[in-house]
Amino acid sequence: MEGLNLIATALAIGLAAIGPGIGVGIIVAGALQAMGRNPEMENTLVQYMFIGIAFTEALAIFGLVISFMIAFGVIQ
Amino acid sequence: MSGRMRTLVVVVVLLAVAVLSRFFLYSGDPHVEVAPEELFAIGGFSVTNSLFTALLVDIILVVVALLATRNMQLVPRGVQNVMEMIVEALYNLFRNLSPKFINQVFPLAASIFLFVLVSNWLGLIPGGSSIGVCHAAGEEHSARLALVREGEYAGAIRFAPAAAEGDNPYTTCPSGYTLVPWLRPPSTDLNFTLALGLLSFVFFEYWGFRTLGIGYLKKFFNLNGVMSFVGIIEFISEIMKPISLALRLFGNIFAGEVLIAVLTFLVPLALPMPIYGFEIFVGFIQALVFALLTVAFLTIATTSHEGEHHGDEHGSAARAH
Repeated sequence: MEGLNLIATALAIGLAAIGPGIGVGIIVAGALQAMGRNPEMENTLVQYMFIGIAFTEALAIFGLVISFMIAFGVIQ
Repeated sequence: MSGRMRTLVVVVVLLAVAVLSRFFLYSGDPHVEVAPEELFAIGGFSVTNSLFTALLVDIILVVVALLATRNMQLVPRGVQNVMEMIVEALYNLFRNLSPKFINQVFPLAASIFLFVLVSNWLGLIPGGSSIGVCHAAGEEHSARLALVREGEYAGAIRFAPAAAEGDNPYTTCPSGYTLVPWLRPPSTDLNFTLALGLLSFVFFEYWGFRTLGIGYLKKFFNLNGVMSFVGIIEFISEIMKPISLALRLFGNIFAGEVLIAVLTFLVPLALPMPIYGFEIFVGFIQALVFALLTVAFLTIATTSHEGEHHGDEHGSAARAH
């Protein structure tokens, strides 16, 4: 059971990181492109970029919390 | 020696020191606990270390606010100047997102930002998670979030003057006891972050009802073809808002603490320092994101889904820029 718990912990965060990783990349790429085209908007763009990153990153954080719960025995 | 060579030498020396420190310095096993630990109980009400730290953050904020407003002047100096700068920057930031409701949302969002920021950074103070009280290792007291561990040298700090003959030269908990740190940032306690998320949830639901009246519910429940299905999805995502707010803050800050603990266990010197800087940044960003999302959710909740309001919103957005 110990080994299976370790595998579950690693899979929970590992799989959860795939999508948000791609998503954050797309968000930052779009924001940088927009800033390059229109540097005056930088302050507003950074603000919206962080909101978008926060939404995307939340998915990875869900996986992280699940993996913590498995690792520290909150759920078996 | 050119600048690049010097940088390279510094990096190599630091890495060598970091690797060698693994063999010479004693660092305990990282011990991580999800739930906060009880420090003492007042008549059955258990005071956990995260609650204790939350009260400490309150005191810090109140004292700073009192200092800043004690002797207010038209041309600000010192603490007043700094606080005015912070508040003004926050005000401009939130006004961009929600120009109509800035007066209603600003006190809550700014308080959330300052509270979460101070509590995130309080957990990064060195020694904060390794100074505490020894509790008998029972089922309830066997937990802590620190670089201390059970056994002979739990929480070991060398204490030279006490090295009398036969004495333990380390200030440490006796075996069978574990160390419960005094300070634990409230953001690493899911109870606190969920409470904050629910507070923000109740706030923007209230303003949604107050602005749109009973029509606010039309977003969730209507029998208008495909919109009825969209309503169900909207409803689920509305329920998920406080949960995702809570888990985001908890996950980020807790993961940072665990990362620093594990890295310090692997490589005691040099390598944890950049991570420390990164965690300072993360603590700031997460505090900002929590406040910004509160404002953004308020804007979403107070925006009607009918057509004529869209044009109105574009107009105000254009004015804001």
